[in-house]
Amino acid sequence: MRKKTGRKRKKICFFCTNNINPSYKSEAILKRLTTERGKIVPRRMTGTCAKHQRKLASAVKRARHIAILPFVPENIS
Amino acid sequence: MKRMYESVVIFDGSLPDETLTREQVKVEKFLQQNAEFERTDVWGKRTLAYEIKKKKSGYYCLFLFKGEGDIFEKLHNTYKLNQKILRHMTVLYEKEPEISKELLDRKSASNDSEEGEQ
Repeated sequence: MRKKTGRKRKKICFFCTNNINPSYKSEAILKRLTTERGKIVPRRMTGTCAKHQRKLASAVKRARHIAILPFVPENIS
Repeated sequence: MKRMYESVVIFDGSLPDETLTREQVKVEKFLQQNAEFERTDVWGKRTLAYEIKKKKSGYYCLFLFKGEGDIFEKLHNTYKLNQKILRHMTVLYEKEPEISKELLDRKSASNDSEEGEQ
């Protein structure tokens, strides 16, 4: 049986609240929305809305291409 | 139709500064001749997230320009022939988000509280 973990708090999209768009240049934000193994965190965990999650995914992929973010955990120091 | 593009170029970071500026000016001149060159944002030297051609650091430059779609192929060809360029990417211009330090701190604070709940 699934454990009840108390009252659920509604998560709000970080990009909607701050009125910004995900960009491959904003390294700090992209790092927050990827795991320590370099994967993109699913939106059920972060609360990002569908539109911004799509944009975030392409931003992360662009950032990986220009070596701002790593592709594989071996390269994470 | 002319559109605004931005092109990120990573030059080999192990090269001396003079060579890097010379290479940067070369790309700028090419853009001036073939498109409406606007400006260059120099990000400077930074460590690469992974090695490219056995190089660990790169000199990042962002070129902003306006041009027709066929500029892509021309640009790609010139980049490809230049061995000092490790990686390049040309995309449609996107406005850089204004991110203050406060915003980042707030984000980390909310992340912590979420982790606490789970």
